[in-house]
Amino acid sequence: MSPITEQQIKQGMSLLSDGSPDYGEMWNRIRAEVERRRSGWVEETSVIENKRGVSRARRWALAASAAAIVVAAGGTAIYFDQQTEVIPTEMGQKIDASAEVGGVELTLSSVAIGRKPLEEEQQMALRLRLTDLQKRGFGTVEFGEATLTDLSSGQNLAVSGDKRNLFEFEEGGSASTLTQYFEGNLPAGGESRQYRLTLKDATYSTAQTIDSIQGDWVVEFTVEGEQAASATYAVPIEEQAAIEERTGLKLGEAQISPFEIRIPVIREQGFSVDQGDFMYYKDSTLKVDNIGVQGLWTPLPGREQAQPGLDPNAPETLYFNLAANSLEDVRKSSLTLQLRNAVVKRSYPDIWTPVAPPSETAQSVSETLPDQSVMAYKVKREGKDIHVHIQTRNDFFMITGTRLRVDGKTYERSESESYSKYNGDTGFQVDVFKNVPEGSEFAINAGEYGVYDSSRDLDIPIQN
Amino acid sequence: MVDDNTLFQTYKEDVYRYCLHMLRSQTDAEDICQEVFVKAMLADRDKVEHMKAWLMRIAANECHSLMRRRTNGNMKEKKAFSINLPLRSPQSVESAYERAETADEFGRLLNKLKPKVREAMLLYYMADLSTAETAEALGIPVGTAKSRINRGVKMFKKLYEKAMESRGKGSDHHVSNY
Repeated sequence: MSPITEQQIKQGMSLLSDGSPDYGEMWNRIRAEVERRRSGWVEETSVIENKRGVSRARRWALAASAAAIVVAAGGTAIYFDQQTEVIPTEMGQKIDASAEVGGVELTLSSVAIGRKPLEEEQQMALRLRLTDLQKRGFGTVEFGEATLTDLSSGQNLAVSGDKRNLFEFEEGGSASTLTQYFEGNLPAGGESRQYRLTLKDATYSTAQTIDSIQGDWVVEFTVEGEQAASATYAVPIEEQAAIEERTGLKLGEAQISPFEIRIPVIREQGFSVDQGDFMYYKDSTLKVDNIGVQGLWTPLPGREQAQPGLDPNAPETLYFNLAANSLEDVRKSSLTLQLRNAVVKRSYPDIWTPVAPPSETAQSVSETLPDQSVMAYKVKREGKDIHVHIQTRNDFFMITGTRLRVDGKTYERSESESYSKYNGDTGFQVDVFKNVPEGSEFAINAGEYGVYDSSRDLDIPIQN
Repeated sequence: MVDDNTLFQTYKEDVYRYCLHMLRSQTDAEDICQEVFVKAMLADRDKVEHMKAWLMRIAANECHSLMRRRTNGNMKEKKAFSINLPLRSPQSVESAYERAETADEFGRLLNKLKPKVREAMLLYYMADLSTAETAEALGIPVGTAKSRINRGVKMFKKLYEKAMESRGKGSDHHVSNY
């Protein structure tokens, strides 16, 4: 095999597919948005620098409808934001210390300490604001390097997360905010520590140019451990009756920090209802006022392999990342937990579906189980082995393998050779049974499988 | 100065394909591509000398910004979210997002490159910018741009050769990623 050349790489990349998007529609949306921004629209809610509360997709949808208002009214568009904007507030300890070089002012607004999302280790978040004092019309400003030095030890703290120091400016805006995260030896409650933050060398872009400002922006400040951690607190969840009744679960206190909300899941052993064993909810959302934050349930019960990067022995918990959704301080927000699509485990160990002795020609057999789930099998022999192919779909999936019985003897599948494929909507599982002898009476049992049960959907208020 | 429509018609594919292969999501790529052109159309373009490089710089920054918001520096969560799906074996990071259409081998291999290297490769080879224009678009020194491109080529060659070798070993019976 001859090695690939640079020319072939270039050619291959120039032929990369674009999936045939609808450029015509894109152009229409672009024009509508440009009109909207040019036409001097008035925003119903207060103008907030660097707004991130509304998802971008939602902005495009609202822009299109606002542009329609412009066309219909023939005048100034009124842009109604149908979601409550989350106004970033100071979290943790207020600092408000600034440094200015070349007309660019860097302000450290506040500092907060809390657990890193999904981990036990603490991090410190520095909320920064950059102001374009000379109104150069910044699009973006990026600093070359950020260093946070603990002045008592002389040690630098490591950046926890994105190492880029990139500030983005809204159209016509003169200020931008950015939160940077650091980890290391952080001050505990009752402790006070001095730090120096240094950012070097701003490269900036405007509509016309890219240029840079050489210099050091230096801010020294003191962190009071207790104040910095003050935006972390716990809220007991009062309404437990419904979730206990439908799932056998209880929820622990919601642990709220500026970065994340964690809700421990407490499981009663041996819970089972007639219709099957509850495992977890596929969809969990935390409504922060009107904004939905998708949750993560981990570790998932019944999983053999750990989710990558996560501790399989950690206690079962629901996590909601606030920072990733541009939410920071939820102390004054209403919080509601929405749980949808309970994943329920089913099995019928006594139901065996007879099949003719398998041959190299696949035979199709189906069985409707007592819960009305339909198992669609295709069975064939591959040399000494038997392959059982089961069709699955988004709301129906296999948990364990099928089992095969031959003349009264039960066979388990090969875990190393069995496999599954899934494209997000449909898929299949192939169970491989090794070295199965010829016989006269063959039968298949479905093993454990999972279905979604929306009859157990719930909304649970946490904070009003 | 070219009019807005000509600007879009001339560069829409370069911008969109860049966004698609950086973000690996059609919805996000459309969103960002639109934002790039809106910003370009609202800007005063009279003094822009290298239009494509300028547009690609806006695209690069918008992509960075979205990628940053996606993870907020938390790669564990990004991976973990991809697992919270119907019970399956652990999935790759890519499945956390809409399934982007990278049907060909190149697209799949490109996805394996780190973002800083991938963006340099996309700008240099796919958008056909010069090294200087690539550096300008990414806001980095020319030497750094060259180094990332060279690194990208080396990594890509290794990945390609490895992929070709495993193909030669026959059909894959292992549990699949998606």
